[in-house]
Amino acid sequence: MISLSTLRSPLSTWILGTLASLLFVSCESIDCTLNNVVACHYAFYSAETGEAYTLTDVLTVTAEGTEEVLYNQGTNTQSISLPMSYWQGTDVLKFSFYNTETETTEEATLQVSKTNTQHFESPDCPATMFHQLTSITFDSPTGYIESVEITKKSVQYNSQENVKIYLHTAD
Amino acid sequence: MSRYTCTLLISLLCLSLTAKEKQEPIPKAPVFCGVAVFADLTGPVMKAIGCRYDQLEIGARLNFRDHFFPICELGIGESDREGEQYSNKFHTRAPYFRVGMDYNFNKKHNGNRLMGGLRYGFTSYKFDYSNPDFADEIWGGQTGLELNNLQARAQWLEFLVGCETKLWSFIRLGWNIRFKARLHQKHNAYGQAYYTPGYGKNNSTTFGGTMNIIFDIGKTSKKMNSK
Repeated sequence: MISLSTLRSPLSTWILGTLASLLFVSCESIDCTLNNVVACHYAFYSAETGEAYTLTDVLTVTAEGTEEVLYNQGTNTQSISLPMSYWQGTDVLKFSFYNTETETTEEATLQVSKTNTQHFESPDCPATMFHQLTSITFDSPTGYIESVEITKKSVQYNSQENVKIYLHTAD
Repeated sequence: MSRYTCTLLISLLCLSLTAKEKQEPIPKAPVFCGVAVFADLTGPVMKAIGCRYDQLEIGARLNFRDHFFPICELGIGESDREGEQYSNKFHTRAPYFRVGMDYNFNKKHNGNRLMGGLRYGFTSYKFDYSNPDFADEIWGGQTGLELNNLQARAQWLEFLVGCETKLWSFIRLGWNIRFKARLHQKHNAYGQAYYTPGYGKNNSTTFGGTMNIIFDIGKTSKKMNSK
């Protein structure tokens, strides 16, 4: 038990002070965001019903201008999360919808325009890039993509839907 | 784990306030008992052993009735570190300022003091953040991240307990441990600083402490110390 009488000794004050100081020098922890993936979330909807739509096609998405496949041969897809470029003002994404029944492929491109802002938290956590969607246009020669809508402009550490893609689903 | 130990230490100190001592007539201290200046010793030690941040701090205080101590503290906080897993580099060096009041719970004027106190802290500072390996692995393009002179401000409160004792004549030694709570901070769109000068690691609350060498100034102070 510490009491006033023991505190009268300069030696005890030194010892307690040194111990307390060492405690605070050693107090350190790393607090990085657990969900540290930045991705733009695209969800598919039926243009006819306006409801969420699960693709019956095999979907592949590539980043135009690179050899990178961002989403590879996904089936029963309702939504996808795709990374965005760090420095470009516009990303061009190439969507390939492969119909296994007819063995045909529908292709479309999305031009996603955005601003980019570097983001950091701590020297112990990975630095990343946040984005703000400004506009989105599409080119769908066969008309499979009917319209595209931005629902949330901010692309950062979250899994909220950013873009709605309305597909022509009626036969 | 360390935080629990800190809390236990504070609790023990608070318990000691209730310790019963022999009843003696206590002489009343003069209204104004002098001035003291002090310097923090932990900052130079932290710098010498290579801590992630450190500070150089001095201060001054008045002494009323040997119980009330209006106080101001000035310092320069510094952090210059690189992440262990990632090559992120953070740097800042800026002044900070605190004002507040300490209260001495020891009723006897025997040169020893058991202090409780409150501080309001403020700093306005700039920091640099860089990462030479920051790269877009899919699309490529520019490599590296370098953000300089990012402006930030912070205000916070500190609650402290501590004690001090007379070493020799007008020289005293004191230490305290502090619980700090951030009131407000303003930072840029890129992110908040890893370290805030005078506050410490930039969480919403944090702990800290100082060990001060204190010099009493003035005749009244010397009289008090001679008792």
